[in-house]
Amino acid sequence: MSKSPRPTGAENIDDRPNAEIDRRSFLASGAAVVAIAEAPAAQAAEAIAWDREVDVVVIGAGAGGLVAAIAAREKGASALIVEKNFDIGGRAMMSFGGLYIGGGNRLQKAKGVEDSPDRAFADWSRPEKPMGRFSDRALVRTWADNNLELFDWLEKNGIQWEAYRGAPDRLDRNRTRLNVVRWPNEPTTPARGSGFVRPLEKTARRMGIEILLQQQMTKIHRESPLDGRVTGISTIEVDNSYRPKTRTMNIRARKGIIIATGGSAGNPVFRTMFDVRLTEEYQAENSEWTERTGDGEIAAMEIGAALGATACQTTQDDNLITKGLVKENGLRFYDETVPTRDYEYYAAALAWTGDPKKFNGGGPIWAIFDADAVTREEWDVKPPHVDPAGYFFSADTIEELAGRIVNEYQWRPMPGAGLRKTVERYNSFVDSGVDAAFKKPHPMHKIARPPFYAAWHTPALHDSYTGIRINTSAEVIDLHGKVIPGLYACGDSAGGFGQHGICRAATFGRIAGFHAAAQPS
Amino acid sequence: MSADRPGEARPVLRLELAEPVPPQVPLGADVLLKVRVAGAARDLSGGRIEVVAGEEIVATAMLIAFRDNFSETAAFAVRAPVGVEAFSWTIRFPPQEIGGIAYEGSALPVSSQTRPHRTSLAVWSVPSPVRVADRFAVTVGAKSSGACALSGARIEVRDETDAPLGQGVLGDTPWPGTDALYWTEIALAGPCREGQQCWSVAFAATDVELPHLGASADFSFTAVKPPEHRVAVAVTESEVATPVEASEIALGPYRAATDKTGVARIEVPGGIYDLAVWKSGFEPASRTVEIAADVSVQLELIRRPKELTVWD
Repeated sequence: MSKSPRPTGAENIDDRPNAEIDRRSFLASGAAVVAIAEAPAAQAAEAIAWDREVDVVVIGAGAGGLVAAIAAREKGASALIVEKNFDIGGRAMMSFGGLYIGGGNRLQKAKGVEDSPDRAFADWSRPEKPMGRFSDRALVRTWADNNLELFDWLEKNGIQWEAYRGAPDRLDRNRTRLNVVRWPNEPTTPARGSGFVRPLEKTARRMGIEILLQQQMTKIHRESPLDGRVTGISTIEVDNSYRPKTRTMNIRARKGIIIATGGSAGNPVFRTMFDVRLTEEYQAENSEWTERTGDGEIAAMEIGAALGATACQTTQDDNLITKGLVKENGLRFYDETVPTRDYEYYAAALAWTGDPKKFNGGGPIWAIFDADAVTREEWDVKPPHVDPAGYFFSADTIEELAGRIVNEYQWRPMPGAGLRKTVERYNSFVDSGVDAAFKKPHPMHKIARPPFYAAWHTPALHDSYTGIRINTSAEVIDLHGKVIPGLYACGDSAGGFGQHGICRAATFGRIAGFHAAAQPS
Repeated sequence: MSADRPGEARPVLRLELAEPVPPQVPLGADVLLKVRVAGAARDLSGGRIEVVAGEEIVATAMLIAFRDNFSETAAFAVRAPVGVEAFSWTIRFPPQEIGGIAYEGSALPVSSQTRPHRTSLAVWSVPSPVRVADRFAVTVGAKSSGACALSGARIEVRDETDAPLGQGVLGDTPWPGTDALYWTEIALAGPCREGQQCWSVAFAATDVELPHLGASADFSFTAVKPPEHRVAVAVTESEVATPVEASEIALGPYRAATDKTGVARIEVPGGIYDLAVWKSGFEPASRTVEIAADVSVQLELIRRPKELTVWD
């Protein structure tokens, strides 16, 4: 077992199991003084007892991490994945399993869709759209140029394509999204994301890639705190709720470390760095399956990594989803029918409503509806479909409903008379057919028939578009614009490309795996 | 044995409440008390606590836990008086022997004020539009904050000028699906002018079961002149051209739903109207139509792809 990382610029002596002995005898000789003088960084390096050694360590077994490990293994490197969940998949497991992947592949040709890498690049770097405006165009170009190869490579590694689906969405103009075939009998979710991660898991295991579950990365080691190559990671075993247990491990990475931890959407401290409005009341969707707490970003920043394209996070409309009817004060504040990607809606939703102790964030938003809505929409308003412990309330009258709303983020009781007046006014808009307050087109239904309901309808965090700054080789860039040798990031952990979904993760995961495998050990 | 041990002063016990009694409580409400006894420096578990109103013991509780140098009871309920009044209780630790030690008694007076129950109202089944001068009915429900049976209480309907237009008496059973919303249907004469109307319903302060505060609420509807033309709105699903049943139609202030053949029939006075169609699972559709004679209007709905969801 090797006890200490190699000095900068030294030969690859650490690869051999007896490297430590070599090092010791070397240091014990008269040459030691020279070696230290040449490599001051090594002096600062902590002595680490490595429990495992592998060429490439991948942190996170989601879309990006699985692809990265397979890519590295394919190029001859040994690879190991650590995953803090009790199963693989990451957020991709909960995904609908669609990839923005085109460039003119076989399926597009069969559909008569004309496409090329140039078109793909043009779509996803459109300046008139907030989603395209702030992306690092070098990364967008890299994604576009890799589309065709990635399509074949994913097929080769077990992905089965279902079909290009429906209408183009987000920035896509002509390719639309390509769905994968759902993994048969996947118990986790009815969505198709399993059809991406399960085949890759199978391939990875067949290739001899070890996947260590319930291992949370706690630190990325570098030769010196802010200099030199990355050398390995520390992990701690966690339980099903990610609570740390006692067993820790140090894993040495001879060639590279690839961060694929799924982004920071679920970490209010982290995300408020770039949008201070995104306070605790905004939940991160998919957190029921996997946390997205910026583990990789934080560990990378601790050793000098920069964040990339932070403007993506605040200006892109996939950061927040859902919308509602009234704020904590019982007042309407927007046309409820606007599309979920209406950025001005969120500006209104996240506006301050007067909490003297909390100036950022907009507090809870509640959907208020009546018995007719339940019938009309065929909603089941009983647990487990609703959560009466703070997130769903019912009452015989509107005023009583306001009084029942008790939630940790509802900083004052909702005024009952205020909510009643809001509903009365809204109902009058239904009579006239004109929303005189917020121009909702054709208000159709009164909120009148008891009982009445209030459901938590506060926006939730969706994607992370800000993360670790990477170059087109998925190498992590430090605060001085220099590559951190051996460190890579992909997926939602990597910043700079405002594209939702699996393809961004797969593109840069594959690039990272190839690049890491080609590193000297 | 007694607490009068040689050289040991008798402990002075102090009574406290974990949470103070609120200055106002609804009449007849259960007030939760959690009593603490401090000053003994010993576990008094098993000791008795009494709550006295006037001369009468209205509740007793036992000390069950000892922590941070005090002993305390579990939370227990004492019912507030049912009249609107200021009231006071005495919480008492009666003289008693616990664990072989005799303690002197101690008392803590608490006071509060009862307030009447609040009431709130709901108005539904309000037809809209209503033809000028036609009769119609609305349903009104009243809820007591104490969930009291409000059967027999009177509800009044008033117009914008506060002139009474009709009244009803709350029935004996709550509206289905509610805890205690007592309701009545009130027949009304339509307004004599066209346009949007904002009327109100009122529940007067009353002593049904227990004293209740009054409440009021507004409701609105549109009054229209008699119709002149028949409009048939036919809704079909785009591409497949099949009729769409049970889609909801708004033609200006008029509302209707399509039948099995995908057609909704509405009678309206001539004019220019916004026509909107809505059905769950489809994109809403709308257009402007001019009605000058009996007419058929076609509208197509585009089905929403089922899997498309906002979190996709």
